[in-house]
Amino acid sequence: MAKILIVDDSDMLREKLAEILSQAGHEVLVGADGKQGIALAKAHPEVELVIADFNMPEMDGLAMLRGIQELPGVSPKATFMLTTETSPALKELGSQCGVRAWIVKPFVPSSLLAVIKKVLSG
Amino acid sequence: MSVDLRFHIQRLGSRVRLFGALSGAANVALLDEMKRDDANVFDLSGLASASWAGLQRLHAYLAAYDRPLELVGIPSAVYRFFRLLPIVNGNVVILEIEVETFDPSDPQGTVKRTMVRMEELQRLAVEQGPILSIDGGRQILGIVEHIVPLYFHPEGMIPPLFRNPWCLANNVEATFWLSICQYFECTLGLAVDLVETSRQALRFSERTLYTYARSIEACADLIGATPRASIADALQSVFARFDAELAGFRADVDATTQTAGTALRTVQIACWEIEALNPGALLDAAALIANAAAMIRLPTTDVPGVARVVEQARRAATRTDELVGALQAVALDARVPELLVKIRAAFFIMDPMSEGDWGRSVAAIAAELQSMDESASTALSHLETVMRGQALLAGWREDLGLVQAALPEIRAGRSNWRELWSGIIHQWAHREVCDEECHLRGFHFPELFAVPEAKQDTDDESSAA
Repeated sequence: MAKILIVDDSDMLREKLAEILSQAGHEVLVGADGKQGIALAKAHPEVELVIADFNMPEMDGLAMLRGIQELPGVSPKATFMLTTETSPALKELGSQCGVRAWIVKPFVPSSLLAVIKKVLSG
Repeated sequence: MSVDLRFHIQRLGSRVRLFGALSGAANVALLDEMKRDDANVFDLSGLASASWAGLQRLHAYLAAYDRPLELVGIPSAVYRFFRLLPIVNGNVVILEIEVETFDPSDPQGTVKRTMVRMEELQRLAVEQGPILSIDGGRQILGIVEHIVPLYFHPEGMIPPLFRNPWCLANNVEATFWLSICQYFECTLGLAVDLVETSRQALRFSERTLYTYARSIEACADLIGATPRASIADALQSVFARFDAELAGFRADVDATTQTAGTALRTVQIACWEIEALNPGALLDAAALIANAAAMIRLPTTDVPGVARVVEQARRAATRTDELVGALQAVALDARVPELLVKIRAAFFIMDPMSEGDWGRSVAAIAAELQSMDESASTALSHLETVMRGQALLAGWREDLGLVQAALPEIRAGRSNWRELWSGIIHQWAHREVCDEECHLRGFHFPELFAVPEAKQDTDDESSAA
């Protein structure tokens, strides 16, 4: 099981996601915006997976992922975007940031867990 | 769009608060999720802005609302155009709006905003007449018929009378000048809104279509398909010219918008003065707008030309069978695993579950092409809105051209406001009209448009004012 960082400005979604991942046996860290996400990744360099929203106050999800990539000693195995955004221009930016999965909300919990399992075991 | 401007709502007891920017893309259906049996107040005070397209979505939602509903806290920037939509009937009642006020001694001074209950405005109308003052003498912008339209409260309004002796004696003419100045000011505002919000939306559409077109072209390169002229390059080039021209117009129009506002305030102040009114002041105010209209450079963008390139992009997206057929032919190639990775990257397919799976990857690409088709349709719809905005502006300038030509004649006593009004109505009857123009005319001149047949009766001066 992995240590997973969730960053989303929606309280409801953070709680729901944390519950799903915890029940699946993962250790979960949660942040409410991009700055918190970077701070948590810095404090927990062993994080294996980052799941981030795109639209967040202060700093968007892709800017946060770039910030995490620049942290010395922090190298998550994969990053996911979990967002309502479907724009190909944003996906292109996500692709350039090394995003492995672009998941459009609303998500299906079992599908998300399957993707996590595949990525972490690969 | 920043997070704060996203359209969202909050529920507090029976009150539902709307926040952010109400655009044509706003998910008004969110209101349904918050709706409970006891929700009977929509508070719009948190709306940062509302485009015409957004208001039409809200309008459609409210028109179908199946229970009594009160609207409060409507910001002036929202109410300005919301009131043009005569949806507020027995089911939906406006209780509170934000009004714009100005110092009558300084028509070019600061405009302030304040929330006022409708019942208070109606009470003031009975006391003060068509032009209302609050907050220690600040005047509310616009005449009361336009602030509290009769069709919102048809039985609650007492037609107010001017207190200025000249306006009292020449009630119809005074109302004409007030109404026509407000009509011109409001028409300009709505036309600019249509053009500007569509320009913003089209920037997003262009980025989307460009990225999709580049994906298709990169994919075609990878599979060795017959090269075609680059649609991505054509999109970028045609939209860059289009956006630059509309941006230039946007920069030019600000001064004209300010002039139209000043003219409206000037004519209102002239009618409000208790002391003897110089009717020439009304003509001076109308001349302000007419001269500004003559000076402004209206956008002449080649919307059909842009639409043709968007249509090419749409056709590229709908040639799914052709692309999928080519991809399937390539599937027999020994280099498939590497090619598949590259083709997925070209379309930004970020789905670990379909990695290495030819069938699922093609299905994901087909879904992207479907999205491109939808994006192209959306772009064409925005382009059509730009055309409506341009048509509205052209009509606005044509009408103000009549005003500009008539004013010297009226000043010299060789003509009068009735002949001008008759000329404008005649012009309206012989011009193609868009929905927005119908709303604007119906709102500012309800008597003229109350009966459909009235539109045919173009020379009936008795229908004026």
